[in-house]
Amino acid sequence: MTDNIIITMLGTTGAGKTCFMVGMYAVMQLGVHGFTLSAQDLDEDIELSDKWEQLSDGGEDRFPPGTSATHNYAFNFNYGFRKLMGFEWLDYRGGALSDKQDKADVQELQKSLGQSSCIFLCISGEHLSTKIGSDAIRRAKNIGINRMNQFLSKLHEEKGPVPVVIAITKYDLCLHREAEEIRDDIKKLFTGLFASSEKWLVTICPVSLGKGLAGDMSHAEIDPVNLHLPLVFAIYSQLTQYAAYAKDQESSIGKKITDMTTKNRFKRWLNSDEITKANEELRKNQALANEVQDKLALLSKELGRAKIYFRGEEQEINV
Amino acid sequence: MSEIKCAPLVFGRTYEVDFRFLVVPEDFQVPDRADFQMANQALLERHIDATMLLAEQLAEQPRWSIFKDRTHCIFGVTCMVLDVSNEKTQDRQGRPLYVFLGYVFRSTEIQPFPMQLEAFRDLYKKYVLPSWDEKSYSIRSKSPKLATYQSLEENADGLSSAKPESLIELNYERSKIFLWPDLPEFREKLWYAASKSLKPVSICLGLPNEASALRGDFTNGTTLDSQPIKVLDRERKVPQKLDRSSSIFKEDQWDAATKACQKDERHGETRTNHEGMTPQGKSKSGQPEINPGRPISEEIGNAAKGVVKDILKAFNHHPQPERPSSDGNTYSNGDETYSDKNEKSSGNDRISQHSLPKKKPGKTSYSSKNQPTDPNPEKGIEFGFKPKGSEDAKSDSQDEWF
Repeated sequence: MTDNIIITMLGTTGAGKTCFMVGMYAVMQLGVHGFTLSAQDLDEDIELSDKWEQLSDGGEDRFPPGTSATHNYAFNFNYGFRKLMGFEWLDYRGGALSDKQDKADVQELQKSLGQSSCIFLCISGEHLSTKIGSDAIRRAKNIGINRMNQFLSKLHEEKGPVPVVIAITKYDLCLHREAEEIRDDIKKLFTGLFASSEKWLVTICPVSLGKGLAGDMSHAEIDPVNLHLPLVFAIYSQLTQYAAYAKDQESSIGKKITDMTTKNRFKRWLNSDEITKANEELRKNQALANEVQDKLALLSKELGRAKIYFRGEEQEINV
Repeated sequence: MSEIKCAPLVFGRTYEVDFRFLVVPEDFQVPDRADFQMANQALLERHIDATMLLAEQLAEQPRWSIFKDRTHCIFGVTCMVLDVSNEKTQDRQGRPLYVFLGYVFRSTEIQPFPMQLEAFRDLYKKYVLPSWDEKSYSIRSKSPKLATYQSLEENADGLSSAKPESLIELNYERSKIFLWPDLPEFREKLWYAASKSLKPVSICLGLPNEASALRGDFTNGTTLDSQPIKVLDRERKVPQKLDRSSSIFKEDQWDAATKACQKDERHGETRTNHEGMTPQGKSKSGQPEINPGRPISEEIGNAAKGVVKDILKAFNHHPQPERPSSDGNTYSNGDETYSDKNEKSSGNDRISQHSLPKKKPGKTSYSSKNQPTDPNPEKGIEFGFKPKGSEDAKSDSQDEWF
């Protein structure tokens, strides 16, 4: 039994979900500030590494063929090679996003989504290469936004809001545009995620396998940009919730200790075991909270450039 | 002798629309019936999906498969489209396409279908090319075409009558997969045995590796990395001990198979021992062990406290917190409480009301159990984010963001 959290990426066919996962794995294998990623299954490590090599080598067939079979990858997010958190990642046929519910992979996707701690929405840069105007509905359809919103709505109903990463894949295709203008377009497409009355924590993150790919898909150098950021954000958000929980626990244990130690001597003797245990627990909880805080501080170094919104209001990292 | 009939089965993607069944036999549209499992789309997809794992390796060689239930038998090949067509070989994103092309027979024992791409080439031309420009919103792309069963001559070049010199016995258990080396000798024998089998069985020739063989539903196969023969258990994901009495292997296969598995069996045992480990501080029966390091005087003190508490409870005095578990420092589950589960807690017991996570800081990973079940990003917000000041919220350049 694992303690894996689940991250689900929603994206239509050709949005770049598989390439994003392969790239993210390759970048995070090298690591950022001591944080690394490893596949829980060594065969999957080889499989992903082979795909990355093929991408890096270049040529007409450098990109993996479209995905037809659903597969659940399990990764460890490590610090100093010690596992901090496990997470599962579903790679699936993009067409499942818009298929009927009787298909097995659609059901698998829905199940994964319902258990997710973070959702990645995968938007291909090809749909954002020009400013969105009166063609918003057509573009939204091409990106699969209607279905994404449908899934998010269902998730909200069942579980409440979870952190969301809007990953603009193949960002090299819209590099010529103003960053602010692209973010405005994203906000237009996902108005629900930026509503001030709702508790969605959202980041908009441009990612690319290489800035030169827009010019030459087959031979341009693979030079990943920001591929690690969505994951760093997902883990960071998860850790902030652990920190909040640790704080709650601290107050709760502190209150118990106060209750037990303010009683008369006989009762203090009677409760001495509980008091010792609670003190020990408090110490452990504080140590855990400090450790979480340290990790947050380390991860925050990577999120400085990230555009993060809560209730539609822009946020900055604060550890 | 009755005429042999078959119908086409094609699973692939077109320029814009993702993988789907493009054509299925007319009787596959019948709702699920116990005696007609092949009509179950999920079952079909599981087999076909398994032939498509690590699709980038299909360029090296196509994968041939047979899967049959009690009423139908499917012969198919999964290959790069370039192997069967010179046109319409890439999707909208410029990615090379691959496809499953198959023939369905309404019979189980059949002469082997020829393992030649030529025999399947027409299926792509007939059923994929006409659907090439379909849109995802069109009704036609939502459900496959239905094909009637036609005499074999109209569909393909005919069945092979060649019989291998010696036979091979197949595995029929779905929880296992037998893997043979991907050599012509084994391919031919497996193909023949599966064709002639009267029982539900499945084989895939040319699976990329053992890991992908475990993922699918095939019960037999060949892989490039199986030397010489292996039995994999899907639940344990390790090679399994072979049993001569099961007569799974013919005599001439036995030695090679045993040799292969002796090496892996050791690995399997290690794993079993590892999985069979009991949590720290608990006996194999699951009962907490007495802490051997605890001084006797402390035990007596605790016993005295227990007696006093019992007396207090009996007289319904102020309820006291539960006696802590004797396992001391055994923390195996993140969301269990400290209290001894065998002792019922009082309703007013404060400690038992608040479950304390048992974490060893610095030694365990953070667990999803370590947070409230109801996710609340708002709670975490104050620990990692703050609203950006208005002067900072000015637009950034592309360089700062990307």
